[in-house]
Amino acid sequence: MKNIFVKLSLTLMLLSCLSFSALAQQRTEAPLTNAAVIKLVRAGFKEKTVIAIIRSRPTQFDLSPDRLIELKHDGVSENIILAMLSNDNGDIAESDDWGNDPFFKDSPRAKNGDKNNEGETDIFGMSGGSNSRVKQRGAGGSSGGDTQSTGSATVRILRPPTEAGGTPKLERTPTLTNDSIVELVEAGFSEGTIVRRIEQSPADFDLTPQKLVELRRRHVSDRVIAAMTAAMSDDSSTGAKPQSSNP
Amino acid sequence: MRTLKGWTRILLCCSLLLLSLSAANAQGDKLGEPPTMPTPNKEQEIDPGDVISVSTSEVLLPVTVRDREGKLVTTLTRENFRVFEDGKAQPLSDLALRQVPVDVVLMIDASSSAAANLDDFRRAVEGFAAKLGPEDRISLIKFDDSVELIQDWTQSRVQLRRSLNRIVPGVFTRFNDALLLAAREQLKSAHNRHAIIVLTDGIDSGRGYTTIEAALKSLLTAQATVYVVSNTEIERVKKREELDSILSSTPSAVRFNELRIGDLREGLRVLDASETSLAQLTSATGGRLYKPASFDQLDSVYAEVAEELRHQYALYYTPLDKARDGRFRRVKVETTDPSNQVSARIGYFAPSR
Repeated sequence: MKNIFVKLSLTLMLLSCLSFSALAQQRTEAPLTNAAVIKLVRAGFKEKTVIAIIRSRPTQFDLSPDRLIELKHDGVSENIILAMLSNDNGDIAESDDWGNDPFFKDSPRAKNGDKNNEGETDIFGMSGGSNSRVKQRGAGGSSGGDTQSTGSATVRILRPPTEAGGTPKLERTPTLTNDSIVELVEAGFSEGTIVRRIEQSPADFDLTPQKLVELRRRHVSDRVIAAMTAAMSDDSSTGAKPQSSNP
Repeated sequence: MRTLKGWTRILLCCSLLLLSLSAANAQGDKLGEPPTMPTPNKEQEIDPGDVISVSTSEVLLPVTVRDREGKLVTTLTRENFRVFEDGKAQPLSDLALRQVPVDVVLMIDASSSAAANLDDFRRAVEGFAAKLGPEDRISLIKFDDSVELIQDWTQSRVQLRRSLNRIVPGVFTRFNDALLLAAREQLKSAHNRHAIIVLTDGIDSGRGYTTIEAALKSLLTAQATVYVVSNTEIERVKKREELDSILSSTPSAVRFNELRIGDLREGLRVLDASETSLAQLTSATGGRLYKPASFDQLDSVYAEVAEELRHQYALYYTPLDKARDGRFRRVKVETTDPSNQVSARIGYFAPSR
């Protein structure tokens, strides 16, 4: 009798664990919606916690202006809304019918799903030993015809770990203008530093006589002005070139 | 015995508690759904007036036409084109063909062997810029372990030349990220034609955030035509020469170099796969894949792309399907002369509400 109780208990425990893990799985797959964010906010989660949740989950937000206003009315802070917007921009909608477009049916990526396909390669990061069949063309006549060689080498292409979460960012080297040079001068940077900065940055200086007078009035030295002039010198815009003749 | 009985009870209670909790949770505590009865969410409410909204937005299709010998066909008129969207013919107005400036994002893979041949790249880019029109603009993106906008939009050749001097070689390749960022960040303007010319082997290191499909989706959304100047052929020749050299040596040398042989074969396989992917990418966006045999040929390749951009048709039409449903719509362009080869992107994403 006791054994039956023990068995029953263990079975129930196992069932519970299974149902929880299934639920957890379901949770990880369910995209976060506007309503879910409002719920989290109303539940009293801190702003940074809500943002962390947004960044760690798949999302399906409706961020049309009306819905954004609704979010605001429902007490969702602007920082959270910004996180939603940012996540939405970075989110790749692969759930629509786009992925089913016939164009991708024959793509190497699609085929890579089937790891048993011989000789196919995941060019987006591979690992492990290869068991491949290489169809080679002759190179420069040195080995003519098709040859079939069975590789047994263990080739490991290093694939450093991707940073968790987030979206890619475009780094920008700021374009220097007259104002940014004046700011550097007023901040007390040395001539040498400013000149080097000019040499290493995109530039869009206005060096008309009036602007030069103003630069000097704002204590920009001749050496710096010379560097600015060099950055813009010999400038010939594409306007001097032949007309685009697209029909 | 008592202890065992006690444990059994505890286990039973815990199990029942867990089961009841999980059942309750399963009913409605998912973050995406309300916990109570399935009432429609606010965001799912549909205003009848919003179901189908009429838009007069036009679709711009840059189209390149070549004859059977591969020469650019530049004399076609609106009557020579047929446009199909999801299989349905679309009407073309008298203003279907227009002159539109082009915004070109030049991209260089600073982690590949291209970075070791920067002088060739600089020369090719300067020659390319010289062939553009007065309203055309160029920006420059370098990618390796990061994606960096070296030069924002400019029409100044001096600024372009200066920016080329700021490219330094790097490691790893965020190719997919770079494509996505170029599309999303640099090609926002809807007025001009958009083109991307990228010098790369196309092998992403897998350190980024983006799949090639996602990058392609962004490119199609940005209506960008992608030209890839691939150094895969250059790399392939190098690898083959080395492989042939090893294989033609003595059997003991072959055995000694077994690992290197495997490495080279794998490298060749990766190059093949990359080329296939690049060919699809360029074809989907209406662009072209170039595979120069040496870096000396970059000049002529970039000149050819400039020529193509200058003679590209900017074809406009207003889709019959005016629903702003965000759906992908397949587009096909034909000319009345079936022997012509037409390059245009495979489709576009309808605007969403």
